[in-house]
Amino acid sequence: MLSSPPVGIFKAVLWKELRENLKWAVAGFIAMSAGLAYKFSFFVQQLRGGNTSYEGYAGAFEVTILGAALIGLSLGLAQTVFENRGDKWGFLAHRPLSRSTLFWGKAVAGTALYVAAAVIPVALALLWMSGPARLPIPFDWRLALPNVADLLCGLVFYFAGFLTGMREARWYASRALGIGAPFVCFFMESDFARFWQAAAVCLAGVLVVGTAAWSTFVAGGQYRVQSRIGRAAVGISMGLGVAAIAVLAIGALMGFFLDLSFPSRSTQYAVTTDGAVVKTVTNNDEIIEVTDVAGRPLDQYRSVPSRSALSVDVLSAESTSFRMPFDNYRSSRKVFTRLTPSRPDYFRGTVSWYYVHRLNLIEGYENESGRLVGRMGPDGFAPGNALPRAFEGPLRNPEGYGQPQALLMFEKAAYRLDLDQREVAKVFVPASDEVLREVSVPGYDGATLATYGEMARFELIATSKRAVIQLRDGTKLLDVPHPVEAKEWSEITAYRPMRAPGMPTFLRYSGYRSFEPTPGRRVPFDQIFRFNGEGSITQNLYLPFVGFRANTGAREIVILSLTAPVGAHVLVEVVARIRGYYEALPGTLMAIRWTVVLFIAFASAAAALSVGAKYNFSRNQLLTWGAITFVLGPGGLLIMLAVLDWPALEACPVCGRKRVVTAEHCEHCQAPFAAPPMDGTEIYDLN
Amino acid sequence: MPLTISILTGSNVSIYQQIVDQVCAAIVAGRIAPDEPLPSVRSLAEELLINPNTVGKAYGELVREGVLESRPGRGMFISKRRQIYTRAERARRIDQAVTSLVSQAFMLGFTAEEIVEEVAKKTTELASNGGGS
Amino acid sequence: MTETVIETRGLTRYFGNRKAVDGMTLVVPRGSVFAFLGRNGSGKTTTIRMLLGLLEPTRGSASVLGVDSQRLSPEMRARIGYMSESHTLYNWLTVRQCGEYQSRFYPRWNEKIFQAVVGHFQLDPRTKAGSLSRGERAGLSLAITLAPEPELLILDDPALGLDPVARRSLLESMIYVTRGADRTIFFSSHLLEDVERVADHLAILDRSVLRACCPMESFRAHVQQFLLRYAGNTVPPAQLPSIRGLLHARRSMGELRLTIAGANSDTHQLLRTLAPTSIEEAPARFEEALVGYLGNRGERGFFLEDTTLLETAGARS
Repeated sequence: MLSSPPVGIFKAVLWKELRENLKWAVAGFIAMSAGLAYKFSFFVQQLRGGNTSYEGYAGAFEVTILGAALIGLSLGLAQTVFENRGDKWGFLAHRPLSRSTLFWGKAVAGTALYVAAAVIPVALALLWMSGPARLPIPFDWRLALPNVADLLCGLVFYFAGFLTGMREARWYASRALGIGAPFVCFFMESDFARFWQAAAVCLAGVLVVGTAAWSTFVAGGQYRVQSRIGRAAVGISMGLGVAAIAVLAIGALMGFFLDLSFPSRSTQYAVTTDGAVVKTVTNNDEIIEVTDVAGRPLDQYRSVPSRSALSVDVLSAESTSFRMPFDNYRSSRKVFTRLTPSRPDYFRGTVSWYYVHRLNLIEGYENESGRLVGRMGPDGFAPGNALPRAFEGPLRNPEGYGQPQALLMFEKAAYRLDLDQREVAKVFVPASDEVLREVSVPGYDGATLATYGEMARFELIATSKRAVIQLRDGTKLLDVPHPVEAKEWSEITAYRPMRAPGMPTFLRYSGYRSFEPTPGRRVPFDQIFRFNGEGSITQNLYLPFVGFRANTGAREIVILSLTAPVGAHVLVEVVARIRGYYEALPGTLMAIRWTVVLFIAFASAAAALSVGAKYNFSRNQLLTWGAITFVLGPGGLLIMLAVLDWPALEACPVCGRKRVVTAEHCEHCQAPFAAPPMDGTEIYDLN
Repeated sequence: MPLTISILTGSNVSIYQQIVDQVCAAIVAGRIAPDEPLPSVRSLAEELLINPNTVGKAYGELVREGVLESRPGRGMFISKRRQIYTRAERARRIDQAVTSLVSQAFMLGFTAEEIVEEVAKKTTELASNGGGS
Repeated sequence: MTETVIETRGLTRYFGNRKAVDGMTLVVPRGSVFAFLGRNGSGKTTTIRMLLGLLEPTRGSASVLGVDSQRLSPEMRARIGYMSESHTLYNWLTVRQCGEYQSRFYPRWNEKIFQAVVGHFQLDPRTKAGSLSRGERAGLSLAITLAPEPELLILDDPALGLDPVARRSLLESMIYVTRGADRTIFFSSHLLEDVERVADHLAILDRSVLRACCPMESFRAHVQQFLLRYAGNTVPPAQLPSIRGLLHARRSMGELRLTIAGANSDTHQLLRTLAPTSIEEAPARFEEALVGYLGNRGERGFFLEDTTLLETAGARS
């Protein structure tokens, strides 16, 4: 009976681990702090100059994941590589405590050290940021979320380091495969939209890799003796490593064989100076060909000068919703949107303005000092810390990065901003049965402005029912119901060729439309309408789809078939059907694809089974690995090679065939292993 | 107490045999008094730095041969009745010892008369120490 | 209480394709001082690690104190003391801290023993373990191994690299342990003098194969040295016949010295056919017997013979 309390033993292990690995934590703390200090000094410098929007960095400091990953990995390795074998392992493991308890002691200590080294500096940085007059941005604790996700991901790196340190290395690279899993975690957590999803992925990573680490530690590094759960966890961790490498390799391969870059040559539509709609082909920002919408070349644009003067004095107000804000949890845009004044000279000014979503107010910060200058609401500017009346509801048109934002759109009102004058004016209120869907102004054009004055400064306002074009003084140039179904269009653009006779207005609608008789299948459409001064449609053109579309050509299919396993193909098919963007490939390509994929799947499974038979796999093992290699292809074979303990093979003296050395009896002829040969000098006297 | 036993490792003679021989030699030379206890198994083992079982075995052999006897509670003593070898065994042993003595003496260059003289001297000396009978 | 404290059955371990331990079946009786002998790299440390459940056997099994080695519970481990070849310690702990740290793990920790061994090796409690000399490290390692008063002590080459004083202290500690009649010591060593003094059983591992497992006396009795003299015109035969159990043979002028294990009447007969002038038989010295077991079998020695001398001598006389 152990009278020594288990808690006392656990504390002893904990103390030893903390004391032994403190130096790594200190080094990590210094590195992380230095990195953050450098990053913040960069922020301060940039933001003070009013140079860059904080959004450009998303919410995480970039240093965070780098530091967290390195610190986690180092700690995990440090706690294992130095005492994983030989006499050092003996001194660690031959003690009156279970291996599990020993693992927990290490893990708790490692996590504590990780928190000290990685989490505390980040927390301090955020704390500093949150104080008044630090950085000229509105602070919200949601800005911490990306860092929290990164720090959680760092914990996955910790367990990966632990696993790597403990595993028996088979082939050199297989040791490092465990590190693939946290990378996969990282890719996912930085991609997910919501924080809870990112956190869940990281926690899942901790669970899987942590279990693999625990199980491998308890087994002293070997695979064979681990429990089923442990083996599954190790298999998944190694599998993710193989997957990470495979994805990188496939990507490199694809990049080598395929030219995935955006063509410098593109085709689009334009409205000309004299009010016609044409199709242009542009190469390197220069128009080289102009045809009509049907594709027939147009004489008047044969010469270069005529082409360069294609759209002189044509003002266009583009759909802002096209520039979808990237609002996953990592983007600071969920917290605030930077407002940039429309200015011809891009002079940034001394104050940075932000729309703060939580308050539904605009805040201004002095760049130099970071001090809050004041807030603006629909009633105007209020200096200092005062809280004026807020805008009515969430901002519906947060702009793209650094784009000037002249109009703020809410569901039931639109406002015009003058940030330099610190003025707000309400410019439109929809009727009670409609809501605002789009507001837009044309880009600043000094020449046109000079020629046409206020007429060149129109505002496009689209509600759920109608489209309105108005001047800044409220004069309505156009007020018509939408000529397309409201639920079909997602983008609207207005064109006003100022020189065309009658100053017509063009409205272009694009979106997706569903068709009978195959409901659910949606096709893109692009339609442009010409309105005269009285608001009647004088032209209605359907614009055939041009521009970049991912061409799944034969080359891509072949490469994907060769490299991606059948499991991936099936997954992609299923997801595409569920999501509704399934597009059938031509028959021959489909046949080639599935033939190649299935062939590879069967070949991989066959290889696995033959290797398994050679090494005397049990029935369960054959089934498991056969299935895994079928679904995962050659990657599954790699996992099998990396994960399993491969015993030596010896020729059986009785039947002559190769047999595994781990079994007492030959799997072919049941002969037991011969005792080592005697030479007559033996003395066995067991009294 | 003048009983000093020292053992040599790396010899053809096993350690336990060396102890047996040396205890016998000590008895013959009169270095142990009849009422003197021999060192205990443990103390001898710890002094010689050998396994106590070896000492125990040596003592056991000596007890079996009647050279020593164990008195409960008091230790190991020289046996009052010493004997027990068969006539043939005694003859073999004396023959071995004499052969060894004489061949060594001849090798050293002593004459037969000188040898006999030395033997007579020694017998007298030891007998007076109580070694005889 | 089991009669045997260590038992193995066909214990085998491969490293890759190499057999480190081959089909070892071994029994260690309770209360013995058991020497585990073999050359460097013959598989002793591997065996010890398998006994302690630190390494998994490829095949076969081992049990310690009646429990399978792969399933040693914490309670069992408290009863087994282990000292590795490298006298592993945590270098950043002082001598005293080492003792304190270890004591937290063991329910039965005898501080007096710890202090006694530390004192015997003259260790300053305030010295960091990393600054100790080799002998001092061994002493500290021994102190923490002995203090929990384990039933079974497993020592892997404990005297490796120790100076004579430290070696002596080690021997004294081992003999001290034998005060407990049911305490067993299982140790490996190359110091044959110490083995001869203190071991009462031995096992010999010859290149991964177990060749002997018996009491010390049996071993000594089993290996005999035969000195065949050739006087006058007779010469030792140029080729030796195959003699069962021949461990080692050496020729010198007019002599043939054979170390043979398990000699019986057949052996004597065979030797007489070699026509020597006289045959002398004596128990082999321990070192000779062991080296005979572990060295290259047959007729080979380091010293090269000048056979022309032999022939000339033979011809002349």
